[in-house]
Amino acid sequence: MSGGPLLEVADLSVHAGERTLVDGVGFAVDAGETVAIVGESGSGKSMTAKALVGLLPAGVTARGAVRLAGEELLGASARRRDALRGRRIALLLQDPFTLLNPVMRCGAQIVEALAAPGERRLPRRAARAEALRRMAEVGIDDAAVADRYPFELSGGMRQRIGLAAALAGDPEILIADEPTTALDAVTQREVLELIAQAQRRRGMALVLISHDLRVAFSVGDRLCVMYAGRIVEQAPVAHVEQAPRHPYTAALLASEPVLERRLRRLADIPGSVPAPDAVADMCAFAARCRWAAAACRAERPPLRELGGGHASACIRIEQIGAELAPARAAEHEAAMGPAPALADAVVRVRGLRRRFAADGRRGRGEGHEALRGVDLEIGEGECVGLVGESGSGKTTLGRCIVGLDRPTAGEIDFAAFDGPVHRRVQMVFQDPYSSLNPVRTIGATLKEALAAGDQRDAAPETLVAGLLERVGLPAAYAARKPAALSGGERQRVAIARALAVRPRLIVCDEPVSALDVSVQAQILNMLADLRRELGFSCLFITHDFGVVRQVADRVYVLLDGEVVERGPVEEVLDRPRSDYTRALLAAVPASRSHSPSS
Amino acid sequence: MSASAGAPARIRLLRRASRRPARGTPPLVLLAAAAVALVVVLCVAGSALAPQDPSAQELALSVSRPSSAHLLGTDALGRDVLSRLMAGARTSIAGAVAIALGAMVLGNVLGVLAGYRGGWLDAFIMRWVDGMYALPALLVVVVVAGVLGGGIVVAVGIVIVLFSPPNARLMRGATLEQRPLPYVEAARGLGLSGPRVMARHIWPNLLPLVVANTFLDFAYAIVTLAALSFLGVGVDPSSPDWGRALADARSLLFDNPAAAIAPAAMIVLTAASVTLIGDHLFQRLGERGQGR
Repeated sequence: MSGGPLLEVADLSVHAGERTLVDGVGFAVDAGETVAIVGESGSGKSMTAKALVGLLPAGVTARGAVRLAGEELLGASARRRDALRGRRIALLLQDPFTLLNPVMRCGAQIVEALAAPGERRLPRRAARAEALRRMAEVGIDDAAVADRYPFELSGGMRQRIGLAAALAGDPEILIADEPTTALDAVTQREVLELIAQAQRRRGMALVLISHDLRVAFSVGDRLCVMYAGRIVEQAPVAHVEQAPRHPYTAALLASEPVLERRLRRLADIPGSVPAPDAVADMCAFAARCRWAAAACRAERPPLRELGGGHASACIRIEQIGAELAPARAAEHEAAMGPAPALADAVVRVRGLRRRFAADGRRGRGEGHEALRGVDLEIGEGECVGLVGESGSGKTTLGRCIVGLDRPTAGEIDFAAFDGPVHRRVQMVFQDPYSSLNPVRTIGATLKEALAAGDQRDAAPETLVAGLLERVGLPAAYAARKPAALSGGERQRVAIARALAVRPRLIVCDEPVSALDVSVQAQILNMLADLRRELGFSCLFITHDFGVVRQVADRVYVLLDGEVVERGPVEEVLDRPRSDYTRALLAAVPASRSHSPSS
Repeated sequence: MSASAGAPARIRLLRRASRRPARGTPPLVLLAAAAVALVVVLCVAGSALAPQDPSAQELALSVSRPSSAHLLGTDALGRDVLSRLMAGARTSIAGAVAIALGAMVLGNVLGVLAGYRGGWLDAFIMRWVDGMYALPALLVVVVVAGVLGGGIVVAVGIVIVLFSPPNARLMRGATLEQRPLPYVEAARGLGLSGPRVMARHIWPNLLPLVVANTFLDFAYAIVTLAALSFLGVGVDPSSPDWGRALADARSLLFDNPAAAIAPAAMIVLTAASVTLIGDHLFQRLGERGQGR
């Protein structure tokens, strides 16, 4: 083997037809090292990962150089690549629900990956023993799991099987594309630890692709920050955390909802990620950068080595470097005072139960109780956070309050307000891509909501324009259909639709979890502004403690349909009383520079 | 994550592409459209355009081969085959249109209702659908129309009822797919009535499926009606209907093959063209949600 890096990527570009997706990316990974590639949607990080293993979708081509221990991969024959893939370079995918073949038993999926194509397969019994050994490595000691089908397993278990199958060929390098994004916090930490253990034991290198800075910081040795198809900063993780040397990285760090304390306002990044082709000859971040100068737009800044393994693509970093850090600190210091005392309740939930029938698709065995006697109160103008893992019943609770689901027992009492439920409560859903009717224009959707809320104090067009302005969108968007909007814009429209009926309470079900960090901050800030202006109450359902810290006054922690802890945010997050809350908080990927909550 | 990222750019590309005239309309579909246009013209003005009176009999000329006077020859009663073909378009097509539209309306209402409401209504509708599947369709029409009499109207009515179950099943499935989506829940959350959610929110999203399926049904209906007239059900014997003409001309196959082949060719041409167009529309409409 040559003395150079294990994996070397130079000037890698990925194109879909005439469109550029990745533009001149270069980095190197040494044996046993972890390189995290971080970026938002549209940064080209996933395409980079796919190009590394030669699994680009049809019509997408890669140029440049990808060398594995000196051997060029991009020009290699399909047969040679098949031989390398799985054996020396392996891929672990994001979605545990689709990464396994649904009609193959789990053990068989690992066995299949054990022998290289064309190689003699292991005898049956030996193969099974080996599969069980591999499963034990990823923390599955129950041999019966090998005989189960993927649908019988939880997301975390599936991701472990996927990891075992990826490791089956004993690769020298593992490319993990958002391996834990679809998982709960606790499971996420377990899977990340398993990957780290396997890596240490095998001396395997890891390229981790993630949108989550916290995940990247917790596992990475070095970090590549991608933006609009190129790398804008590359450095050891600790360097980036303490002193980012690119305005984009700094802004990304600042917009992260921190777990430790409440900020007056999240630092969002205005605007959205441009297409790589639109910014081909300038700094990709110039349009959103407060330090941008004429020079930034004149030519494309190269990635320059600044010393200590730290490289940045900001040509003004010498001038502005000193300003980056203080700007961050100021944004972090502006904490908020304690929450106001509980005013009159808008809604009181008492002893709420919801049982799903055994014969229903959602139930198992003799029926499944999603909510087991939940009490909850939301005060006038208050924002209540509802935290729990998937399956905790938090969405069912929200749906019951909105009237989309009917509780089996218990009562929901809307104090001092009568009229139909939809005039009091509205809901904002998680997935911005399916929460708007795809065949109707934004204007039609909003008009209908206005009519449903009996809002007729002006012409509908005027009211629609007003609503769009409220959520920071131009009035011309009324003529558009959802497909022409970005995820963040759609979520704004969904919020406008909820506002249209002037509800007293808005139930937000994970409204920002499908969005990029910078957009997430925009939406959270907007919600905070709207709440201040309009005074509605909010039930904020989320799995993210950082978000809860930023938005909620009080918080309820839900476990298996029961409230295990409740109280003001500072108390619950800083001095958790239940073991479960402590476990959840501990599972939040710790960024190394911040001290854990006191 | 990154997959959705290209969305704005992709849409821009799509929009640019859609401005190009006649984008992606394959020649075969254009040909099919021309054939359908011809049939439509025949439906509207077939008898007027016919070179001769379609029911004028010239017994002396009984079963003549194509000639300059009779381009497709004559049938057993000496009637001009070409003229009868042109005049027969209306009865052959009108029934099929009625069947396709009727089955669409009935099937859509039942299917969307079953899928959206669920519960006992769903069970009731779907068991009815299952029951209908068990019936031998052609036999039912022959028997029922034979007992009831009543000609084409009754026959069409029965075929509508027979055609709607597959429609209902398809629409139910598609509705079940849409129903849990947040946009439907949001509409329900606004307090909109069930019929409004079904008609204004769910149904428009099923439109590609509805259109494609209706076109397919239409093609089947042409063939079914032709088969029925062939068997002598529904259509009055003197009518120039294609299926009827095919049945009558079958015994003349050796004397004037054109008399049998021409109506058969019209049935095949119309059914195939409509199927092609339906398929194409399905694809185009499917892109609609992604476009603008």
